[in-house]
Amino acid sequence: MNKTNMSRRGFLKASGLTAAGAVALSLTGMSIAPNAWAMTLASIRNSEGQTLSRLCRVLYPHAHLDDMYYDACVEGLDTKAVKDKNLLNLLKKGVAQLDSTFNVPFLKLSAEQQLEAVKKLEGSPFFNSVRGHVVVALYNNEKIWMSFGYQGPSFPHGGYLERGFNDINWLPKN
Amino acid sequence: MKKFDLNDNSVVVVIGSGAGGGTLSNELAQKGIYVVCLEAGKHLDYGKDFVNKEWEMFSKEAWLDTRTTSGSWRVAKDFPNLPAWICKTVGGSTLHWAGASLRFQEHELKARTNYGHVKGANLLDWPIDLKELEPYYAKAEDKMDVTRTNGIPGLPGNNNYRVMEAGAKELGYKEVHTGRMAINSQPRDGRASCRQLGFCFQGCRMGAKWSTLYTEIPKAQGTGHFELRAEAHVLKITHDKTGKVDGVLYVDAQGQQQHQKARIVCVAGNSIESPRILLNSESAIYKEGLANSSGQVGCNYMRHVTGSVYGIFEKPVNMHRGTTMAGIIQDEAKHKPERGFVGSYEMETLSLGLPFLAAFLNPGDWGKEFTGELDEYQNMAGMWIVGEDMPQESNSITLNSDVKDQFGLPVANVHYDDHPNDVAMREHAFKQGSAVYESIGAIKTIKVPPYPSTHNLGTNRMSAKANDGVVNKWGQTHDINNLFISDGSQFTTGAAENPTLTIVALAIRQADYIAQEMKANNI
Ligand SMILES: Cc1cc2nc3c(=O)[nH]c(=O)nc-3n(C[C@H](O)[C@H](O)[C@H](O)COP(=O)(O)OP(=O)(O)OC[C@H]3O[C@@H](n4cnc5c(N)ncnc54)[C@H](O)[C@@H]3O)c2cc1C
Ligand code: SF4
Repeated sequence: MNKTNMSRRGFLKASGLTAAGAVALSLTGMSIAPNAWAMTLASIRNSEGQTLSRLCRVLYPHAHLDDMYYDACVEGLDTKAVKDKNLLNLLKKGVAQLDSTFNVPFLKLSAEQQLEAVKKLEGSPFFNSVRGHVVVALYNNEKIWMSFGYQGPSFPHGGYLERGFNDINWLPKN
Repeated sequence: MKKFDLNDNSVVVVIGSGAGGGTLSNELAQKGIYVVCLEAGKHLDYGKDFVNKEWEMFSKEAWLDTRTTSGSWRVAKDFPNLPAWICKTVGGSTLHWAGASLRFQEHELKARTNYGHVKGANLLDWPIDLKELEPYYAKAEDKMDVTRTNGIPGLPGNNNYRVMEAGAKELGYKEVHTGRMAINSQPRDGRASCRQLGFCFQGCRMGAKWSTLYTEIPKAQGTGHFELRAEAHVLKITHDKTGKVDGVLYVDAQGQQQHQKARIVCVAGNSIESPRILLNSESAIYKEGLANSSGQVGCNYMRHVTGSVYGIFEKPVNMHRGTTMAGIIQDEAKHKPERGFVGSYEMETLSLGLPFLAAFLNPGDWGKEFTGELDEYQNMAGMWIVGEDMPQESNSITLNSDVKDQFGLPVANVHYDDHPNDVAMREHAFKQGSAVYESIGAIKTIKVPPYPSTHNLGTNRMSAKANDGVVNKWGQTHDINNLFISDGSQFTTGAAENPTLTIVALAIRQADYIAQEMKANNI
């Protein structure tokens, strides 16, 4: 890592960059070093946040997505939990369950074991709340859209009339 | 703009400003009849409030007041409090709608006669036939600027359409085109033409797609005979000692209860709220709710046999570019009982953005296989199936007195079980839809279960005899002659076609009838 990156990283850390903030900055073209942000959590503990972030990835794994997108989902959950005691309890207990499945912290488990631990909780209120949140929060994050080839809002660009609405070129001719 | 006094009992009160209510209001106002339209939702400005984002517009436009569900349909499990995907805004679901505008077929209006007795189905013939409807279809098509009618050219086909068309031709289908769409392919009626934005379901930011929000409502306002009250949530319809309706009780934008007197009341709250309002209006005279001597209010709920098929290809499709419903295959929309079911279905392209696709592709699903499919977003093409479902008496809207809304009234419970005919039709459509994509090399096809209902029909149905249904051939309730139903809840059966053109045609026809009956002093 070169020096400017280092100092930017230092600056970002010092300015208390949240995962959501990192996501926003990455869009401006700024390269963000891994772990340059920290989840900013108000209701759950940081270690719980890490576990939940991994759970989010086990639920909706995309190799092309950086951890910060999953962390941003957890920040959203955490914000909800500030006002919702039930949810907070659910999250804390759920994390404890994930950590106790194999008597090894969830984060230390192999990928296969993590999947197994999650499957054990499928259908539980904890699982449902996290899954329901992530499936919206993750895919509604406009910063990930381009990596799926989804182009997002088109009105600001005049629609697709002159931008390839019918540009497909591999169909059989008949 | 015109304002009416709450005590003015000369007005026609229309409940709801969507396809049915918005159209009826304008048609009446054009004839010089005084109309007050009460709309529960907010008044959005398409130039300012419409953005190209799926969840953001969903939260601005959709009806999110609590509803409950029951029955074996999968929506009850996946979306227990969201049985229907419809709007609560000025303009109603014409903000969300895709614009497909098809006439019903002659045989569909006589389903009982043509399909015979189907076990478990409550089939009935409409008390009107296609001949009677044709002039009104023509007026509706002109009003809605429907492509391929009135000399209006079809829309150009986008990528998603071109994939479907190529597959359809490969399979030997013949009736494939870019649809009859209430979307301007050229400027018309003072509105712009479509620029292929691809956010038709979010509200058309161009105003190219017909919506009562910026057509019927402002036109009605221009007559000086019409008042729109937005954020006016109707609780009940009231009646006098003789049993005629005489007004509407609602909560206004400030949260105050108001009572608007009325000469005539027309209900167009879509097929869940319309019967709910009638049921919530029960009284000493009408113990089972208004207009319910037949016991059919809320029954025979229909939602079309739906489902989607997505095909994944090796190369990019970019289905999100351009009109959401960009074309249609009509070859299966024929009554051919040898397929193993009565009635028929249409296949129409459909695309969702990534946020909605993730939520609707296989609700509740997660894990590698699922995300692997989403990773193919760019290479996907999609279609929606819309077919005739069987009316069943037990599929119904009832009051759930255990759950109350923000005003303390029981919410609607929506009960639905698929009829075996519905299941057979969906299976056939899934097979054909997959074949369309496979014929041109899809590497995978995905069969997607029904979304929450966008087409809600039949819960105040039209019948020749008073004991078979709720309204007569004019949408006038059999029991109370100054109470009308003006939305898709009038439908006797659902037919295979998307319903809105027929809702609008019926509203235009109803306006003629109301005007004539008012003039004759019959109501
Ligand atoms: C995503 C989507 C796509 C669609 N695509 C098509 C298509 O391509 N072709 C087609 O034909 N149809 C389509 N439809 C269906 C179409 O939108 C409806 O058929 C049509 O809008 C129904 O008209 P309506 O007047 O019955 O109800 P709506 O248009 O839903 O209007 C009902 C109005 O009544 C109001 N209301 C309800 N209760 C109360 C109350 N108590 N007090 C005051 N106001 C109340 C509601 O807020 C609403 O504004 C689509 C629908 C959706 C959601
Ligand atoms: S594709 Fe056309 S109709 Fe649909 S939102 Fe865009 S401009 Fe409107």
